[in-house]
Amino acid sequence: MSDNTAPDDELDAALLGQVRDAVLAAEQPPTRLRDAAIRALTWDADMETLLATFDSAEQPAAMRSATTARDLTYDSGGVTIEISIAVEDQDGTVLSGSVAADTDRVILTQPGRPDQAIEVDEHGRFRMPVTGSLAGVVVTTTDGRRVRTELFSLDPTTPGP
Amino acid sequence: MNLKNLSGVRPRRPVVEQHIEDPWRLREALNGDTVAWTKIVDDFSGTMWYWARSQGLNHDDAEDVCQDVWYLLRDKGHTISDPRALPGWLATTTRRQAITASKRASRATTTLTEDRLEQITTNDAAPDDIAIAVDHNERLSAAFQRLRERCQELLSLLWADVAYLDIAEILDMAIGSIGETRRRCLEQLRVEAGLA
Repeated sequence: MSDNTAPDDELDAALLGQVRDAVLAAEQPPTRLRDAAIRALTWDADMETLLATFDSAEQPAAMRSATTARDLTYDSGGVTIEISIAVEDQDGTVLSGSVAADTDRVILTQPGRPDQAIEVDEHGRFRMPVTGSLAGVVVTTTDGRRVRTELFSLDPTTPGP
Repeated sequence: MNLKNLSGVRPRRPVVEQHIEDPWRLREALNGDTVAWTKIVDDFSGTMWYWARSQGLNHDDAEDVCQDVWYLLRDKGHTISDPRALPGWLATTTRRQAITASKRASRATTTLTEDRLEQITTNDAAPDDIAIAVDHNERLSAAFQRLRERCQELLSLLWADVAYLDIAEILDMAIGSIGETRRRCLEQLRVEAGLA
């Protein structure tokens, strides 16, 4: 607060602090949430994280597909991961795509959930129904390199940050 | 976020200047400083929980949303070009994730307001030996619940130090009207709490 703050402003600031304390004390988040939040910092920290080189959600509206699918591409050092997220009538949210890499393992990773192996065909393609709000794909190459896509939203209509 | 892209070398600058530019030490936190990260978690967890619950989410969904936001901050925090915008980023992301979650869920049946009213009613019937400070808190909390939703949203953003620019975007209001609206909301709060 600046030195020339008017007394009324100081009173307002004090009241704002009091009401914050009162409202937040009325219902506090569970302790395990704090533990999970602290763990988030080191989650998958041993892996290289790939940032999207293409995101259909960032394209101008006129260039986007008429469907509600969201397409993402991750590409780094010989590993290319293409992902499509769509909501289908029968399966709900479906993650599909392909991996171009000399890989022996592809994993679906989600905060707070156990990792899931993704079945990939001989062409590197995969398709699986998913639940939850966020996910990432981990690829382990045959030479031991482990890379992970940044987390992406599983809601194609609200991509998020 | 690619942790390897972030230099482990901290800039040599006076501590005070560094804290003005990055009051929550976001860059250090994202670079693996667990003390800085834990401080951010402790500073914002309560308000993020409030933001998630005030979107009508039940406990489980609010917990998922808040957890996701922390993971998103870890992953995407590098996109926050000015670390002073951290509160605005957390507010925007929590609200967005909460709205998505409430659309996805079949709709939470227990809302924050209902929980709070129940709690307040229970507390109102408590014995007379409740400490004055607790009574003051309950009055304020109850008065806050009686404010217009718009006022509740604005005050919660203000107490989390969200910048006016971000508040204007989040609440879709003119930046020039925030100060006056804040004054009126606090005045109403005083009236509702019997402090006027």
